Amino acid sequence: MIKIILHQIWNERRQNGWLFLELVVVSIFLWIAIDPLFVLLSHDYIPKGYDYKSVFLLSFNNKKNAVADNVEEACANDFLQVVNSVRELPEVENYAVALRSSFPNSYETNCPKYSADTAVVNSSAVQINATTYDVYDFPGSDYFAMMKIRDAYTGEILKKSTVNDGHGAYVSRNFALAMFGTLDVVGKTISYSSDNILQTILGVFDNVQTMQYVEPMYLVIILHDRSAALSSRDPFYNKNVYLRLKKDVDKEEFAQHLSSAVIPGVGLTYKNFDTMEPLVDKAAVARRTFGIESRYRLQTIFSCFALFCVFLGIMSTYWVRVSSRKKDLGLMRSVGATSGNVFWYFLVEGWLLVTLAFIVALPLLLHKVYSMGFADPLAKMMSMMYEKLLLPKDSAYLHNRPMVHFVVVSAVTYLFMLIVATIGILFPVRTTARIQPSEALGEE
Amino acid sequence: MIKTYFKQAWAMMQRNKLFSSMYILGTAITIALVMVLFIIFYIKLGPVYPEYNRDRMVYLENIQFNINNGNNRGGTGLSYEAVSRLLRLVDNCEQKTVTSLDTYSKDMIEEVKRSDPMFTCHNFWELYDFEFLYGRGYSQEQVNNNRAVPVVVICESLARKLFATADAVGKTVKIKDIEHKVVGVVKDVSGSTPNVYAQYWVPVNTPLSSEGKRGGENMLGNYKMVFLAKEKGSVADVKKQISDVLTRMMSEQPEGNRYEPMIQTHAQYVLGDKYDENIGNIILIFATLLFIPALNLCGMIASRMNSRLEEVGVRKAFGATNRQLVFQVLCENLLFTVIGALLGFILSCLFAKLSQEWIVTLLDSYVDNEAPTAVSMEMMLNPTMLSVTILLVFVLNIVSALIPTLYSLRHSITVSLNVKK
Repeated sequence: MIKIILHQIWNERRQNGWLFLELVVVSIFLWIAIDPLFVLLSHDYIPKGYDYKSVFLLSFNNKKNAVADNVEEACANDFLQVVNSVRELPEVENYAVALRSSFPNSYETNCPKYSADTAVVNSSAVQINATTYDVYDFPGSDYFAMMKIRDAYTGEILKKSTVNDGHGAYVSRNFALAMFGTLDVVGKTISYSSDNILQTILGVFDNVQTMQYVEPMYLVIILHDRSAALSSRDPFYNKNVYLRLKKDVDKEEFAQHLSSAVIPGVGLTYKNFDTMEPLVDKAAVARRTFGIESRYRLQTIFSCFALFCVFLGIMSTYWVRVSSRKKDLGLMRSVGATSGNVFWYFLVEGWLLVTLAFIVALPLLLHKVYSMGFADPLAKMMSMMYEKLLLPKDSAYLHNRPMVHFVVVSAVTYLFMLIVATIGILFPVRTTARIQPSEALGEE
Repeated sequence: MIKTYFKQAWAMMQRNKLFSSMYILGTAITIALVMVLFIIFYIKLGPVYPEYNRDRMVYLENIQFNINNGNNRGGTGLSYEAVSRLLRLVDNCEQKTVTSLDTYSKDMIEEVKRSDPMFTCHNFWELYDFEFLYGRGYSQEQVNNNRAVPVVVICESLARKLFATADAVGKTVKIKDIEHKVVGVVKDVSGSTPNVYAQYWVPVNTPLSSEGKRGGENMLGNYKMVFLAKEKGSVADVKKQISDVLTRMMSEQPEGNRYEPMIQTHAQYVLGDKYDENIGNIILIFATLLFIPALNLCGMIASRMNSRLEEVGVRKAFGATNRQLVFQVLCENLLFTVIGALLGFILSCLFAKLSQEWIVTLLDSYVDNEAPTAVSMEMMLNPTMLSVTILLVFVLNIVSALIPTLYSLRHSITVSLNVKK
């Protein structure tokens, strides 16, 4: 059957030529439109290494006309009061105190250069920039449990070390491997390049995707003593109280309870409760701000347009073709072909055309990839913000494996084209294949 | 004759409803997509409220610096001193204005949840064509006296929110606890014009604004300048004079400090450093979006011409020339294309209006997602848009119909007449 169909395609090469040419161009266009979508989706599926679905950030502002003899002391007291009241709340599963930028998808990125006193000699990673989160060790607070950050060894939620002298640090798996070449780094020390205070490593956690759509970067979480939080002029200025609500707690009701009963009950002298903001919203904001949302939309529009062109091209061509081949259909039906046989005949013809066009397009696409590389829709955003922090591309991710990347995008493109071609052929052929042989032959 | 062709096309359209509707739909979607992209670029580059003179504007927003022998590098705005010098020494332009690059809190007016401020000098109201519903922009005198009597210009929607009426001139509004007198109310500005977008504008030397000196030996700061050339042809002269003034200033800086001011036209400002490359890419995108459906339409016309070979043979036998036949097909096809284009144009306007919250920033790599980007009727229905649509119709018509028609006319009369026998 395939041979006959190929003959048929060749015999009608003039009519098929336009469709074939269009299918080749559309294959290339569609591939180029799907490629960035694949990269974005692949980044979406990178394990996050955290979960802040029920985590909220509390914000406070200054009370109007508030007067205090010692503003610093008043602010520190207020901060302590807030922390103590939050800790006692039965609705709160965990809480933590950290810098306002110390959570994934935060706009502000603190990324000092670290060095290790026991770094592997000759390693190029003796000094590396790492995103740094500053966390403050208040009684009962647990940043890791709140963010669900997991231990690199056990896969369980990382347990906060009981030993901390205010200079402890937890490092990500990729940081430990890059700096020391091993995960066995607990007890070793690292230091900031700017000041030479040594931080003792207290634990290693699984990689964390610190920015959505960026592969996990090196991350160091410094656990400061709580006095460091309270000693600044106004702890509320750049430190926040974060909390995770228990599963069955209604966040609206809780926020209302917090603002109307809990915080006023504490009697803050200098601050007012402002908002309880879900951290999840930050990811959504980042998604919009860095143009990811726009990218998705743009590429989807282009893909739909390409598919629409395929659909319209195939459908119109087949409609005209089936109408002009009613005599063939009549003959086929009169010698015993069912309408199903006719339908399959045309369908296979369409699929063959799509396949041939795609085979012609593939070397062109390979050339495009070879000369220009794959799509990198996030390049501008990453070079803008994370130039110093970018790591070599990790082949653990699909989009970083050229062969797999090419095959996946090509397969998806081909599949989409086949589906659309099937729909395009289905309507005209089904209508025509239903007519009786005498009718079809008589019309001619 | 043309009337006959159109009549014939109309009859054919009614006879082959499926072919006609698919052709029209294909054309409509193509025109709609191209027009949506064009609307985006028009909003970014064309004359839209209140930036009607974009083709004469020169921007000086960013100075790339590399100071202290490379220990401190980056990009920022101009210092107060640099601005003062440029205001004094650049004299070959029609107007020049200064705005602050400082980012300000959106909650400085307590009565509304969010309000976007902008800090400008008095020339701002001369350089841009704001439509004042009440009052007018602040004068130099009011700016000089601003510390004693702070003034503000607000947009219509903010006026309605604050005072339940647009006529707010003379009323006062508290901005960060300081009473400001409203001196003018302007028609709302869309966030798609970020150089001027705000909900209220206050003088740049307001008590709320910082002087914004940021190191760099009085070169760098937080100010941005826009110059309006007298005519389009003198934009290069204005750029040169700005460059000369800054070059003199830079020569006074300590050795080892390097500065690279970005003096840009509006198109350069919007399309960025790789201006030429970006223009090339845009043309390529438009061409691709037209080429693919054109191929599609070519296929449809080719199929139709195949079924009309007998008719072509008869026309030829009665003396019609190839030129006449091509003209006939193009005229017939024009009817389809015009109907498709009309539908496409309406679709593009509907789409742009319905997706106005994100459509303008669709091609941006950084989005200030809070500014409302309204797409006004003026941005979609204007002479440029209509001209582009008509141009697209002709391009699409010729590209899609000419080649298949010429191809089918190659047959001799006898072949054409006997093709179905």
